[in-house]
Amino acid sequence: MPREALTIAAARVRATWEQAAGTSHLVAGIAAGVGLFAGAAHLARLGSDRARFAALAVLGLAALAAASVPILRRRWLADPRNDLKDTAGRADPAHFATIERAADLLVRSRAEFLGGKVGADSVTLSEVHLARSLWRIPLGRVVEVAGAAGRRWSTAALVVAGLTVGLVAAQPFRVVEGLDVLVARGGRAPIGLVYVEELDGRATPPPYLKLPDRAVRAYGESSLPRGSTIAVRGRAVHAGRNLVLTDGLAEVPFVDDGSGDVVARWSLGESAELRVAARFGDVLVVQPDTLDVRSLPDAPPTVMVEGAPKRVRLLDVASIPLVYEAKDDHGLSEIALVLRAGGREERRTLSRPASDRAVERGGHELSARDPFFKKAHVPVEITIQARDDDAVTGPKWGKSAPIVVVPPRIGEPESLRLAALRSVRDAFVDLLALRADAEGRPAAELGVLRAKEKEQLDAAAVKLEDAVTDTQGGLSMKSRVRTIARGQMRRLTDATRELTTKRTSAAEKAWLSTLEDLILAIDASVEGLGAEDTRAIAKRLADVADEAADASTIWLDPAQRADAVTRLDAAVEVLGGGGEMLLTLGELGLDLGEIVQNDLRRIARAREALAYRHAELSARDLAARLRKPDPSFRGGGGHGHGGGVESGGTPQPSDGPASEADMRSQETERTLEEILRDQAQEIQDVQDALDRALTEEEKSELKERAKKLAESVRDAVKDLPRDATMPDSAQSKAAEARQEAEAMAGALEQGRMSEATDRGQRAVDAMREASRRGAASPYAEDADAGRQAGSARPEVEQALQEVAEALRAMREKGSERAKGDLEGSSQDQGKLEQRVGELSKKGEDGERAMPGEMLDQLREAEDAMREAARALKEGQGEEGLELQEKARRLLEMARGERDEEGGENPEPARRDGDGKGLAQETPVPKERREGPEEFRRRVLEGLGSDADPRLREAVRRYAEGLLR
Amino acid sequence: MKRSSRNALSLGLAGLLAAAAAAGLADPGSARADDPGVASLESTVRALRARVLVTELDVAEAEKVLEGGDPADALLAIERARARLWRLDCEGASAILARPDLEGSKESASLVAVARGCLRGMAGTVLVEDAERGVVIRFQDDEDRALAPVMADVAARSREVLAKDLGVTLPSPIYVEVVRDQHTLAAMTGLPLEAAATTGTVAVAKWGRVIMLSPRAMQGGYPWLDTLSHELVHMALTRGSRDRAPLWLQEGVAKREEARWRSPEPFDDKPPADDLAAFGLAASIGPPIDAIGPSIAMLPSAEESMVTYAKVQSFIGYFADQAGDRALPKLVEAMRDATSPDDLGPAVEKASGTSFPVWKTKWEAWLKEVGRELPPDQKPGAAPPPGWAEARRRVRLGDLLEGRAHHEAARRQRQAALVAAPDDARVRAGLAASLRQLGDREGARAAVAEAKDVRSGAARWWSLRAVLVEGEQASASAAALARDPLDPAVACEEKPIPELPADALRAAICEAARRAPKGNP
Repeated sequence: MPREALTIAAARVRATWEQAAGTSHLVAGIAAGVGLFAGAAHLARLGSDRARFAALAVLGLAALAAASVPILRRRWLADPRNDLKDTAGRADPAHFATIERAADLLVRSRAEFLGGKVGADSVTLSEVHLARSLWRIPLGRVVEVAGAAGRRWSTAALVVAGLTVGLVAAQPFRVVEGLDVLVARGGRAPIGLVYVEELDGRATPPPYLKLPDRAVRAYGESSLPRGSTIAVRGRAVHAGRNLVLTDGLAEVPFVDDGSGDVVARWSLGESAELRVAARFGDVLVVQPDTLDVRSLPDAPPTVMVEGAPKRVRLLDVASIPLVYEAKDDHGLSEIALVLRAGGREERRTLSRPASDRAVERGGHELSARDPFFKKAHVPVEITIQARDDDAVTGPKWGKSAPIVVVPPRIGEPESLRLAALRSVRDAFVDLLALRADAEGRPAAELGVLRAKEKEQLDAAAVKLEDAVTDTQGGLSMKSRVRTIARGQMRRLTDATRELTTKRTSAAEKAWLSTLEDLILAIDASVEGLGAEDTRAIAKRLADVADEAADASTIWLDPAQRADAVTRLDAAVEVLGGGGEMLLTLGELGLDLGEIVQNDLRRIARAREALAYRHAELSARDLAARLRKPDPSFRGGGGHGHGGGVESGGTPQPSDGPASEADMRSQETERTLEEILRDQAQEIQDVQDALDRALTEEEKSELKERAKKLAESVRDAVKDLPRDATMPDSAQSKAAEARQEAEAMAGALEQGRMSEATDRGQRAVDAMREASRRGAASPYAEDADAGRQAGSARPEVEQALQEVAEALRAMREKGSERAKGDLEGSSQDQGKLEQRVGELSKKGEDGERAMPGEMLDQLREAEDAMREAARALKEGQGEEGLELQEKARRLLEMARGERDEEGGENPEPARRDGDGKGLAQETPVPKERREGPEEFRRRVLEGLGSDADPRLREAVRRYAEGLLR
Repeated sequence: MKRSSRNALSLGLAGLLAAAAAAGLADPGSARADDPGVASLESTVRALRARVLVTELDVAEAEKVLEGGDPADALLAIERARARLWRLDCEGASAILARPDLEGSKESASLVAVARGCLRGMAGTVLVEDAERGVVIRFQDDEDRALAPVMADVAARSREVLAKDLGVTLPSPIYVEVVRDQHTLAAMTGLPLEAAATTGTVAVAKWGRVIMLSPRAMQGGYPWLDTLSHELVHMALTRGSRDRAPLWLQEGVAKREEARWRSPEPFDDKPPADDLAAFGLAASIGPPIDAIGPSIAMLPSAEESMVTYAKVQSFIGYFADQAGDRALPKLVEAMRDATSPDDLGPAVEKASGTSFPVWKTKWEAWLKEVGRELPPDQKPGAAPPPGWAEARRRVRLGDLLEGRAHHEAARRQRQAALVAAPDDARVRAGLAASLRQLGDREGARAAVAEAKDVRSGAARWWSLRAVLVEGEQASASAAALARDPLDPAVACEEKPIPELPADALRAAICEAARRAPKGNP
């Protein structure tokens, strides 16, 4: 009964309440919901992840509240006491407390009745009490309180609705944007919105293309050169947006163009789909339209070289012609010759075409003696490469198919040279065989060379001259071998003349003996040269063996294994080739060549077993061995001795050389060098004596003049390059000229006139050479350097001439005063003259025989020295000096051009048996090594001076030799 | 071998302490900073036992002794390295010696250098094992492999001879290393290269093995098989005397025994060792026999080494003749039982009943009596005979003409060379070759028929005798091979290309010789 009563009463009171309050609370709730929605959209527009999350949270909470509050309320109101509390309790709390007590009393009465504690009357009275309390609820008061609540809700609804309307109505698009941003994924809003209208595009190609601007359709596809700038212009639909032009990766902002429109400038790299977009924090809202731009890249140049690709053997060609055509779609900026061997690369600029030239044709002749080839032991790849003028992505190189030049194997030129010398020896051996029985021939045939013998003699002589004159694989014959060969040939020519004129048995015997001497002398040269070459080659191969060892070491690192195999293969190939060449170089070469081949087999065996540590050790062992290129066995006085011993033995007849011509020729070379060095010192002494004889006043005058000249020299060479990277180029010569000229200026300032003259002459020579090389060079920098050197030369020549005149004048004045010193020099010069006389005497016959030309030069030098000694004795300083210089030039001509190879100095041959060794140790000259350049200079000096007829003739012969 | 181990232990306390002190281990307080760390007494004894066994060439037994020793002990590590080096494991020895605590140790310094030299010189080389004969040979140049059977045969024969003559049996296997040049020889033995080059050293017996030059190392070869035998004598003496045999004994016995593996040859004692020794004593060439120094190979000149060899050979010959056949084995045994260097002198007395100084005096007196004057051209350092230069000239011209197939002209030159140097075997061989080429077999035979015609044998001379002189084929061919096995004419028994000798071993050597022909083109 009580629950029914309470339910009925609650329903009655609720009906009264709702009637009085109305639906204003629902309106307020709806208004609040809309307001929250708009607010969340604005919050989301900030675009950051945090803002978007917060907006989502707001909307979620609102929705949750809207869905759950009515349900919860309904459940709560299902209890009539709660319902009464919400209505009657709010209208009259005191009465509601009475109702609650009555209800509790009724509950308690019933419980006690059931427990038998009270009677039924108590229950009935309690029910009555509750009924009365419910009946007495003041409905008027309920109407009054409910009406007030309804009014409050109405007010709130009005306020919230007003605010919401205000928020949405002012910027309705912002809500749309906000919602779009709110649901963005991956930084991109799902719904495209229009931000810029009346779009217009204009493309400006990169300046280096020199193309005009062009209009670009704002929507659709366009093709533009890479590097173009595309200006996209339009009217902004919504102000205050952060508008950008984007390809999805990069963005450029739209900016106000000052006329009310906005503009964005896009620099075109790769092809792109460009879109206008508005950026909201991390989110882009993209305009639906796209501008599809295809980027046209600047293609690299293409280069064609006639005949490429191909392989050529360096030994088969004197030069490699390179005829090329380079093309580019826009323009070429540089054409270069590129040489690459293993890890070494050298680039040489051939031309720098004008920037608008898209096609360049040219030709270049690469000499087989190019310095690059000299250092290359592995195939050299030659390409012509062209660079375009792409200023956008940077210049690109296009290259031709390669011409692969296979350089000679290490030692191959030496092997060819030795083979040529052997063929000379063999030709004379054949001649000896033909005439071996001459002494037993009938008397009538004595001294008569049979046709076949004469033919063989002539052929052998030609072969000899060819062998000493020609180059083999770029190598010329060693000077001492030339001396031996020509000296012995001179003897044989003389002996042949004797033979055919005298026709005696003695002449026959002498001729045979001379021929045998020649054969054995050349044979000794073969062995000497072979051993010398072997030593030099072995040291070069040692570096390659070290490379093999290094490659084997890095093989142990898995990351470098491929590189290691490539390097090791290359090194092994070079070693194999070099080893084969060593085998051809005589006894020592055979010995070391076998060792190379054996050690290569050791390396191969270790590689096969993947024991690269052992491969490295084997290669290191080989390198160490090759760095000590001595015979495998030395000592003990020979070999073949009896008994098994650990050492020692007695020499046998076939041990040691049958001729000491090679050793004697080396001695002659050394003696001549010593004489030349002493002669230079004599000249210096005389110059110093004459300089010392000048008075202070004369010196001061000379010094003043020198200072001025120094300034003019420095000024003349100031534009020449200081250094050069390419050897043997006009640039390197020009740099050398500058160095020498500056040294000349320094010497002038310090009053060292002789040195100044010397340095100045070298500077002039270098300038002349630079001009010559520059004129012939296909390289742009070289040509410039050559021209600059040519411009500077007259000034330096003028300075030189002035110095020479001043010196001559001063020395003439000083000669008389220096008479005492000059007399001493005269005696020294006399001693030198004797030494030259002894040398030429020894060179007349036997194993030391010299060529006739060399003998003439030595004799002429001897004469000049004698005259110089006389002039100096008489106090004729200047004349003596000139004669001394003449003698020096003649000695230098007698010496001939020095060997340019960087090989080993030959070791003196082992003293054997009755051989007479060197009389004394030869001191190493301390002076600067004068090269062939220096020699040429002195010869040119001779050519240019008023030398006597004998000297002029010698110079002519030398010049002919140079030409040949 | 067990007896050896017991003997090793019976060296006595003095020896033990001396050895330990030498290693810087006996007194921890005296241990130097650069020596291995202080070892326990047990490790020291173990190391010394191993050292003795290794010296006696019993490497396997030594390794057993070292098994179970403290792996961290420096002294044991050195002995382990030594044992490995002895059995050609240079890599293993190097790896052990690379331990930081052994760096700078004087004990290990020489081993380190040799192990590294061996490792580098012999990496990637070829090993040939002849289990039947108990010989292991490692060739630096694999082209020398064909020589292995000949070497193994000589080693086996030498083992037999030495067991009989010295009472010492060489172990099995015998280790031999054949190197390509003196550079490797020096690196693998520790002998300075310059010393090797001065005296012309071709082989060394050290580090438990024979290390010898390949006959391809020099033009014309050398008596490589006698050299092998000579070095094996050193090994036997080292084993038999526990490395206590003095140098005069080592070299004298080696010279005496080196040719006993084969039949005697006419030039075995040319010039006679007694005459040469007498000349050396009279001319004061070379040191006294008991003051030779560390090695004959380190004497200052080839002449001194030649005379010194003759002296020690002569002395041992005299000693053996006077003291009887059993004197040498007794002497070796007495040396082995010596406990200090001071015991070596009494050992001679113990073995022969006479002290060494007395023997030396008696020998010198005897030498003065019996020594004959050497021919001038056989005196060490003598000037060459008068025809020397002419002979050299003719020989070379003959070779050049022969090289161009001018046989008759070559013959003329060689005939002239013979006039200048009639007793030179190589000159005679050259002439014989020319005559044979020209079909004059009788003339060729006459040129090489008489051993008395020449001063000493040469490979080609022997080789031509083998094909030209009846009844000499086997011995002459073997003598030729024993001098220059890689001369194609010698190796191929004078047969033209492509013919090969009938014997398979000779055929293999012939092919190797033809692959890398020697000569001076």
